[in-house]
Amino acid sequence: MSTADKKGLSRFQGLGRLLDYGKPYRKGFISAFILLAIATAFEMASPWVMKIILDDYIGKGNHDLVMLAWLGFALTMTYVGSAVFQYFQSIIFNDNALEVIHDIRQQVFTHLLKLPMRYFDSEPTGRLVSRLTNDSEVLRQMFVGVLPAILRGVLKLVGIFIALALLDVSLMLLMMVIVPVLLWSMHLYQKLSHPVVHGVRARLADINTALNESLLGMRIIQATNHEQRLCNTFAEKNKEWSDLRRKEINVNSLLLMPFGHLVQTAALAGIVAWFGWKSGYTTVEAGTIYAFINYLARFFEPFRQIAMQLGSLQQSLVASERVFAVLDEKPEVRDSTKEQADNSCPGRLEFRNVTLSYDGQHKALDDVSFSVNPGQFTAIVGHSGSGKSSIINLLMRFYPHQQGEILVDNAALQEMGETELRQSMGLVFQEPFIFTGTLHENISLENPSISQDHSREAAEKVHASRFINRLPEQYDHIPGSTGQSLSTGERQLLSFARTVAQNPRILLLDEATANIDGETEQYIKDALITLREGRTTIAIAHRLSTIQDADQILVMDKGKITQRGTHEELLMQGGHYRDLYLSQQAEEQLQADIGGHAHDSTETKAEPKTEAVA
Amino acid sequence: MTLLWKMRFILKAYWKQYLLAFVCLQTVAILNQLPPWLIGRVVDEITTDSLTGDELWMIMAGILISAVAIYGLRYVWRALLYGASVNIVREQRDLLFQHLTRMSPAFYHRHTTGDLMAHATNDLNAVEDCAGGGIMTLIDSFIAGFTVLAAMIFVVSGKLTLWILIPFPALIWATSRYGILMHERFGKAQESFSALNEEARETVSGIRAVRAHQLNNRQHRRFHEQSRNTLDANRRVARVDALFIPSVQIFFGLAFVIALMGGAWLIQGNEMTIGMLTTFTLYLGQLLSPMMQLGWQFSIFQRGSASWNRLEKLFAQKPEVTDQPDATEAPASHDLRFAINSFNYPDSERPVLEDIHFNAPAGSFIGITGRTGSGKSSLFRVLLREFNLQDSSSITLGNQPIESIKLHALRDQFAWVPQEPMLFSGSIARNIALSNPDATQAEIEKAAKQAAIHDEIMAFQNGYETLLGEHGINLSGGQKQRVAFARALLADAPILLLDDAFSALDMKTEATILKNLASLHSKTILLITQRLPELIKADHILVIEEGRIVEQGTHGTLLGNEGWYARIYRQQARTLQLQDFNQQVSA
Repeated sequence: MSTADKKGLSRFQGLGRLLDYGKPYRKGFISAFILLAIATAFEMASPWVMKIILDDYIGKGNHDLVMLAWLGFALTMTYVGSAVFQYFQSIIFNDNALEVIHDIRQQVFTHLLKLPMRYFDSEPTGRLVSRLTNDSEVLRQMFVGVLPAILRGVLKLVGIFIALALLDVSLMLLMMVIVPVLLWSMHLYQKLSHPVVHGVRARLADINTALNESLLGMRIIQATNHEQRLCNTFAEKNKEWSDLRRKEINVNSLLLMPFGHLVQTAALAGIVAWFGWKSGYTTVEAGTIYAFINYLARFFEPFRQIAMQLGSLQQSLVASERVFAVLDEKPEVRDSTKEQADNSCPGRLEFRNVTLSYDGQHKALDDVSFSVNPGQFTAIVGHSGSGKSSIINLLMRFYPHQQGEILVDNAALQEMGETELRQSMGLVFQEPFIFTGTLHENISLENPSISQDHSREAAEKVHASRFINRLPEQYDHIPGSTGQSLSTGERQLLSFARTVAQNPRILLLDEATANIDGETEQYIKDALITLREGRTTIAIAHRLSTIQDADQILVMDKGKITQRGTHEELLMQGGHYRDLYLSQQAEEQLQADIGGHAHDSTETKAEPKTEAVA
Repeated sequence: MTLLWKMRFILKAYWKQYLLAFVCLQTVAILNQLPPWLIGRVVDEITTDSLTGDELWMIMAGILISAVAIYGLRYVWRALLYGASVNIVREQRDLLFQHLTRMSPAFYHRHTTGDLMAHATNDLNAVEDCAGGGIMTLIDSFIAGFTVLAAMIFVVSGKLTLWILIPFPALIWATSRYGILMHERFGKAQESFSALNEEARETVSGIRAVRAHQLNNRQHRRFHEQSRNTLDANRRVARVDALFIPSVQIFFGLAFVIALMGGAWLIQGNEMTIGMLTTFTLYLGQLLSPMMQLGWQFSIFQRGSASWNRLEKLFAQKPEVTDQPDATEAPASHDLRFAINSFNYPDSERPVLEDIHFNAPAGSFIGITGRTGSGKSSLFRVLLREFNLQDSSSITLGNQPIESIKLHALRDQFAWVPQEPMLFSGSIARNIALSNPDATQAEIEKAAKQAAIHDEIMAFQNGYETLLGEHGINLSGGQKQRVAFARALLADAPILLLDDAFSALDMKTEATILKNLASLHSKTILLITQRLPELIKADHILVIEEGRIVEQGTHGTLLGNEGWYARIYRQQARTLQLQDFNQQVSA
């Protein structure tokens, strides 16, 4: 019970927090509220005008046509006035709500960019994208649907009660009984529908996950004759969804619209009884009854609308919980004053007894120490999972380490400013990130000091110009999302050009494992040498043939450096490195031979990736 | 409306539910006419002072009973109608999924995963809206609308009914106009929203690069701009959307004014009583919701119809590869014979395989090598019948063309390990037992041991029950390949198809696996690889270049040919010598 209360409370707090985002737009919301009040006043006036027409003219047989025409005009104006103010009110509400959502989105996006890498490892891309777009879109409903419905509802109810009191105070008091009944039904609805609505959403997410996975693996599914069983499990999930969905429908039909109508008609019967009984000892005017019934019909409308918005409220609260969960993630805090990279520094790197664990249990790096002198080339080899990538992860400050020190030019890595760090270190990814934008933008990374000519120069240095010049738009070519229109090798070369243009003093290289054929392979090898010139380089190597001229080779195993030295030294030492070298050499020779046999190069184009939507 | 016609066969299965729902709707519509009429009578009797206590009780009881009956009926028709629509969607989703599992790779080449996902979720939701809420409001607005009109005419006054209808054509014109505008602007808003999604996706999926290259500001600026665009597009939608309710208010207000003024006129002429006018205005109020629904339902059906068309297009696509009518079970012999004259993919003219003729007798080990893109994988694709062979080409299994064997029976003969292993979310054990879900734990472990992955699995905290995928851990490339290989071994098919299946393994693990592989004497093995050492023990080796076999034979004959293979072999020998040399140096 107490946990449920707490949950309710936190939900309420989430609501308050959500509303706080509206504060900067207070003026807009207040003016919309004023317009809403005027619109409501107009609306409240029309039954009253009707009552006058019925009682004073029609009922009494008063045939003053001029006066009647005026009253007819006044009645029309109540409708027109209400409509016009209503229109502007809703537009102002909406415009401000859109601004609020825009603000929330910006904030989430900015915040997301500051979160530690660990967070991105734990959350699938689709889910995070959904927080930024779908969930914040749902929040909009809070400001354009739920809030106005509640405000309008309260205003209307106040107006109606005033009008009813003017007509008949005792009946007005009797009518108050309806309020708790309606509130109770709304509360009950909330309680019953919450788990069901959640369930339906969760099942739908399950269905989407299953679908996404099956579509991606359809070839293997078919090859293993797995279709029928898969269809069966899918049908089960689908069945769970439909069962819950029907439950949701049942709850909705029991407690929403039909229930409101039931109470309304019962209240109608009450009014009839009241006036019928009253007519026994006093005169009752038809117009009063009519106006009462009319106000009563309007009385239910706010409840109906609020009830209709309850679903949205529910969804908005769930969505806001998700959005706030992102915002509540602790960002990485960096307080450093030094912002610009000092390129006169030589670029010396040192790891002193560094230990890193991603999960707090297993050590990804275990007491690792090494240093790299300025301009030197250090290569790291080892099995996957041996800790090679962790060294780069630490240098890029993607993750914090637990023990030891990492020094860049004898200053602690942690103390470096963000810009300083990023300008000093150039990371070449195994799979380069090509973003939507021109090739020039992809090379310059929108650094204003890199002109189109600079990009061109950089591309020429690493042979990327060869394929760029073949494109009709050349440097203005837009490679599409995830660089679909470029081959693996072309993307590699492009990322090299990017690094040359940025000119970092330290180069971190995560060698690509993908097989690239023929010519391009040769160009890449060549470009790698250009890339290393004049830079301190740390390379994760998969092919030992590319690192024989390294000043230092670190052999890693299970998070420790097991061997270190130059290529020759390590070969002499014997052990893991030599085994690796020999086995790879046999292979490389063969591959070179097959490659040499080829006439031209055919490379695999990138498959467009699709993410499951959370 | 054409949508309903197109969906008639699907809806037909639920005709009882729909019929019953309509009966309920009609009853509700009629019962709804009762309270206003009774109230009108009370008003009249109060004004003429002829109301008796008994009559008042009767009228109150009448109103209350009709209210309870309406409540019950409303619940029933909702359960029926919406229930039917949920069932329809469930069936369609199942059918769609089954349909998708039958489609060949050529189909998946034409449709991206995201595209198909959208069909299965958004489009089906739109159909659900139509089959449930859409049909409901369509029928309800007609039934309720006409019932109210009939009540107005027959219970109160035909003349007055005619007069109050004057503003409605204008209202209908206005709302349909808004509807068209809405559709247009809403489409733009949706597009803008998709673009926003894409911006967010780019940043989130490339977060490391964004951070490494310090693209924060760029990405933020772009996201900001796109978010602004979305805002503007939504603002334009709101400009139209906000018109609906006020327009209805004005035109309905006019109808009320006419009713009152006209009513006054008729009462003066003694054609009507004040109670009847009360009844009439209450009826007029009941016309409001059917009118409002008409506009809403227009967009529902438009959306549903577009979605249904997309789904139909999908359903209309026939799988390219199907069983022949006289297809048989698999033959007892597992001898494979390839006689491919030429093969090209359906969407291109360039042949990817030409003149491929060779035999793979049962139990043999065939090695296939060549550059990436030379056509090696295509060979497996036609063997697995992902694509049909053309004209005079044939592949036979036990002297029977593979086309004449039932697809399932044929695929049962093969255990295929693809280049990029595909694992599914679920436990490791379930992934290994994918094609053989009844396998015992011992069998699973045996396969895992043969695939040299058992020890690594046991090192996980939950061992074989460790979850993979979205809610679980990620395996390394080499681990994935070995799980996929274990899966193939457990399938226990007579023919193993290994497509560069060990490319991510280190030499030691690879050697272990090759040794295990060699012990599977009874199985036919077709092994595609770029690592030639894997092929030394093969019975027959093919070297494929640009879709053609440029060399073939046993290790020995190829060596004697003094061709390409021999050259490779010599390099192999040199490497071995080097190895010797290094050993001497270090000794």
